[in-house]
Amino acid sequence: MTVQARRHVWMGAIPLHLHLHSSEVTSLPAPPPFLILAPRNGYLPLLVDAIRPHFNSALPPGSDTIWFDYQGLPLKWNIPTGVLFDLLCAEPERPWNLTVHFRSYPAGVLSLCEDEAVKWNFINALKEAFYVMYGNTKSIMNMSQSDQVELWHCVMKGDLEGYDRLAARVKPAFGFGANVGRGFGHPPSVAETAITNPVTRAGKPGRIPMRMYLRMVDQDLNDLFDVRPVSSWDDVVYVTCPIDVPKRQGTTLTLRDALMKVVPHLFSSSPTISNEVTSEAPSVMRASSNAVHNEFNGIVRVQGIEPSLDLPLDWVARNLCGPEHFVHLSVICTLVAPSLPPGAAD
Amino acid sequence: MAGIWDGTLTAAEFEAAALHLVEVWKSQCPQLPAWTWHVYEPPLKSPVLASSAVGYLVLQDVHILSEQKVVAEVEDIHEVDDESQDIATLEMSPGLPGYEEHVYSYHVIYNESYRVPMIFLQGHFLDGTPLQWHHVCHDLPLDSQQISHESRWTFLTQEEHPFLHRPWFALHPCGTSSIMSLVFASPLSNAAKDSSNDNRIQDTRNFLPSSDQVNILPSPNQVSVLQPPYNEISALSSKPQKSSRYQEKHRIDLMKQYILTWLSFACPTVGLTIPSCVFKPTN
Repeated sequence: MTVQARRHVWMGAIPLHLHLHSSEVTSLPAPPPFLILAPRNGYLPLLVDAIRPHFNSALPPGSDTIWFDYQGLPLKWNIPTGVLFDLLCAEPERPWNLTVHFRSYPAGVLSLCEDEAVKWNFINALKEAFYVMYGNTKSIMNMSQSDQVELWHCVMKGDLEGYDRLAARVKPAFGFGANVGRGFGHPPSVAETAITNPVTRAGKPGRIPMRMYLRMVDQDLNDLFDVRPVSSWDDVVYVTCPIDVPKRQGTTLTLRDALMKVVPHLFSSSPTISNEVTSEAPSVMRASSNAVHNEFNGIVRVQGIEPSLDLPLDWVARNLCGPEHFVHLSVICTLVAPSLPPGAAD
Repeated sequence: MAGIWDGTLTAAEFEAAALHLVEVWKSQCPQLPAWTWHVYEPPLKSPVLASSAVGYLVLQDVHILSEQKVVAEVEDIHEVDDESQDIATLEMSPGLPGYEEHVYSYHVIYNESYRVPMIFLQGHFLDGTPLQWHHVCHDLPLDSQQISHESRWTFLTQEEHPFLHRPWFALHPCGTSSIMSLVFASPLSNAAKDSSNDNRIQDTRNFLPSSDQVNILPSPNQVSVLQPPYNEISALSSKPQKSSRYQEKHRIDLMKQYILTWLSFACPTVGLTIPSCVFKPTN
């Protein structure tokens, strides 16, 4: 089950329907659109070798830097492709219609994507995730250069087995390959010791690496068909928000609890009420009473799935994280109508 | 393990330390460009996220004369045999041939993952054209330049500004907490119980870029100025039986110094000087 979930996540892909921006078309007729399957956990510029030959003959003279836009919004290449899709395509559109550019790079909005920038963006995110989980980056720093390169190749190829093999070889070992033994009769302690780390007890992560992308829409969440597209990155709030894992035994943190910590105002009733009532009760009870009383006013997407908010966060982190170990939560929520002062409507 | 401080701080401590820096800076060196605290205003109608720090430190309009060695030589040659040379370039180096003026902004932002402050910078020419990585790198002190080239992707890189969501340059924060835990450890008490630990502090000082260029890093007597709170933190780790309110009070006092102390080596790394007067005791 767990193995399957991870394999599905790694195989996830989005069909792209690309057309060249009209200002860059110098051939007649214009080149036909190009269709390609983009890995969810990949990054758009990595597709350049597949895309460029198709449009090459139509391009004006000059040097190339590939970038993409969706309905006029330049796409951040450092955000995994699947996250961009979940966030920006409120009503999932397949294939996803994107415009590809090879000129006029919008350097004011997008980081330059030169040489090894994409690879290092990944390695640095992986390091950051490890710091969040274990309080150090030993696993990554102890990796040899060639192993790092190989790991990166596994990520680019979507090779989960190769990735897990490398991750298990590193000291301290990482990856969730060892952890999946749990469901298959291996003693859990073996799996646990594989990622044992002196900083945290029992090798359990102290915090869960999470990034949240928040987008407000001005209409009913049940009808997102003709929602206004995101026209600027200023309209999206996105932050890295590590979630503390409770140290007490028997406490299970759910996805709902995590959302409650980061965006409490998106729940329909205030979480403080139930906290007051059950402040003496164990936190398990408190968490469950919150679950009963508070409704989340938004859509949460992880890896293209709208998960139940009662899933244990730990499960989400192990199975739905990207190869850099971050859980990317895309949240679409409605604008809460501001209470207008009397007479303001006129 | 418990009791040994890991060199990190919380978002609330970050804000307190930032406000402390703003205050000290204003009172000790009013003639210099001021650090200011900017409250993050989320985009129109968007909710604020509950957990993150709500502001950051800003220092802007810092003018740097950038030495343009190669360009300057070429221009000199042109000047001899060609009157009609690039006027724009000339205007950029008023009075100082071989130099051009770059204008920088520096932001100090709390990093939720590493739980440390992080310095972001952005520069532009006088005409507003943004500086690229190689320009920024060229403006760094020599030792930082060297590290930048050796560690192209792990030292100074283009990163997205966490609030503005635009590409800025940033120093990687992954080493900050370990340096801070060493800097804040009391050198004296460490020397008494563990001489090897003391050596590590020495090593860190040698390693810190540019500490020789500006007298920034607390010299031994400056450290002694800040000694009382430093002693307290070792007291915190060795005598947990002291009242928790007492501990909390001293932790707060100590953490207020965090950003100032950290800037004392982070700023020189990016070529920014910090006047030693900000380290004078304020009372």
